[in-house]
Amino acid sequence: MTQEAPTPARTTVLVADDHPLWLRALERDLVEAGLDVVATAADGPSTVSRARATRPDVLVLDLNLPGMRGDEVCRALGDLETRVLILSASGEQLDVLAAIKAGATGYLVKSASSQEIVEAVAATARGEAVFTSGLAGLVLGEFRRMAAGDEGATAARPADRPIPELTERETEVLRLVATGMSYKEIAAELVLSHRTVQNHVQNTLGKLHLHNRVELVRFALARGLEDAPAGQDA
Amino acid sequence: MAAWPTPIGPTVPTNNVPAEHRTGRGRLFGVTSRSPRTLRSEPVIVEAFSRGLDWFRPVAALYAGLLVVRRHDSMTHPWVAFTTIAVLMAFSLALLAFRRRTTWLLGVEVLLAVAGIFATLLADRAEDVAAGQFTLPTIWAAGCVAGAAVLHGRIGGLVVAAVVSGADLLEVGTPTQTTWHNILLLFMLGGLIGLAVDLAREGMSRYEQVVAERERLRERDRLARVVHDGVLQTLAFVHRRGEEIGGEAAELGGLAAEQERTLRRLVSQDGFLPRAVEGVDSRRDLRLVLGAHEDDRVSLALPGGPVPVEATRAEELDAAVVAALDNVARHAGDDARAWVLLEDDAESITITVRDNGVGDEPDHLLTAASRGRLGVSQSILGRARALGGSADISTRPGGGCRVVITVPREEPA
Repeated sequence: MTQEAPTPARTTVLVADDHPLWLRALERDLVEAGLDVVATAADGPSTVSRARATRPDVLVLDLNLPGMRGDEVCRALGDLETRVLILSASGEQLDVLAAIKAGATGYLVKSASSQEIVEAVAATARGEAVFTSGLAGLVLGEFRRMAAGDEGATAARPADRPIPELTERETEVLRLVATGMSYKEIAAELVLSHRTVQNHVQNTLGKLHLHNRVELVRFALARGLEDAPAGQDA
Repeated sequence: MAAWPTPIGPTVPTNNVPAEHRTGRGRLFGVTSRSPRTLRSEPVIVEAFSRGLDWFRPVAALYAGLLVVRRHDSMTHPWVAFTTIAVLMAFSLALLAFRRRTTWLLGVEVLLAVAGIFATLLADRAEDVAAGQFTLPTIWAAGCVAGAAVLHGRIGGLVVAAVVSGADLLEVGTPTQTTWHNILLLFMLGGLIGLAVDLAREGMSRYEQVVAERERLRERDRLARVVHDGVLQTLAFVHRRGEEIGGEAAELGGLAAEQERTLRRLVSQDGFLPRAVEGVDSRRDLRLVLGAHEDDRVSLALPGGPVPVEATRAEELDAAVVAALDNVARHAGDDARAWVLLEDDAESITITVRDNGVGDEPDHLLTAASRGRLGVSQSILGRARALGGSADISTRPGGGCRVVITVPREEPA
């Protein structure tokens, strides 16, 4: 369907799902589609250790693994090249959002067809952001929430803190994604190239990740860790 | 041992009984029944009252005894007085050992106090009694008023105060100023201690309700996770396999998908917006309202946090969305899918309903009203305007239809 460029090496995939039926079905589908499933895992800690050992291109991650939450797994793998595709059976929207903020680059519901899942894994491997309409709605909501300053610990907000904002174009694109349009349809509607639409979508995720990282650093500073790096070198 | 993963998270039901309530101190004091949640039988203040009373009784009996010793020369029958004091003291000491407080035991105590008061008539000379001489039990009688207040709250306190006062009045015949003074003190004692006890008990039962509610939510959370991990996953799997196999299996798959959606909505429902919030300001989470429309042809895109909207506004918005979805079902064609996007601004709420159906000529749609079809213009545009907002409908043949409804969050002033 998509113009899939033939990759020199086969895409390596790690599948993590605690439900044996799903794990087997996913593995089978991916292998049939010519992907290289290098390992599987059924709980959080082993997902992390196996991802570290095999360094796959893509981690297909079920959100509800025993032992670790989805966003914790994403955070634990933050330093790897591995891209994370969230595959979730449910609408636990906050969990999805947390995982996306922690660095996952795609989200797909389990009710998606096997073809859709295979395509999503391939797209994730190419570095594209896999959005569902549901995720676009979540991300739009998250940026609105940040803009409104509804951040829980609003009291300690310094005036200079950058609040990530979406450009008008990004908002427009996300809205179209959220109402079920494919990148191709959006490109046609807005008279843009497919690649440009793709970039806009990816940028929104990039801003979320960045914001999340800035938040972590601020948290560290607030906890009095600022002396350590300053003592070495700035 | 060390291999066990530490953060097991919320899947493990946590024991939420606060540790400080486990000491079982309550067991020392007239325990009647014990709450299974807080492991506490009575509020602290009630236990303290109860304990204080236990020591007050023998001290009061001793005081009454001393008074009798000082004036037994002037009594007609001192032995009646000494017997009375002995009985009161014995009862007081017995209560130190026997700590269960029942209404029956309270009755005995009141009876002893009243009997003691009337025994004064036998022990003392009539002219001393008429002059307002102390009764034999003196302040010991106040103990049973306080005891009744501790046991049965202000009602108990006032009733026993009335009984003891009645006995006092009968004993003295013509009440003196001191009699009225004492009666007033008795009523204040019974009423105030009773009030304090009542308030403490109410506070405790409210606290237990809160604890129970919290447990209920936590249990629901746990259930939701269990259901999610097992049932939902399996249903989703059946759905998927069914689609793959096709034919009748696809129908089964469709059924599974429907059940999956329903169940998911059920288990995730009141975790979103605490019931207290909903109850108090009659607002509803628009996400839940719109969530009911999700099915195999309608997808929802919602923000992560609750979107509380005043209930009637939420219903009107919902009705507009229903009209738009109706329109999709009737005119967009059999294969059409629809998407509903909810966006929540600080001031306004935007709902977009889009479908990928056959679309229509824009003119056609707008003239529908003049041709007698009220559907779109009335249900969507009219409702949006009534809520102080606007609706924008765009469509073209073959290009589906997009309805954008924007209304202010609150009723315009």
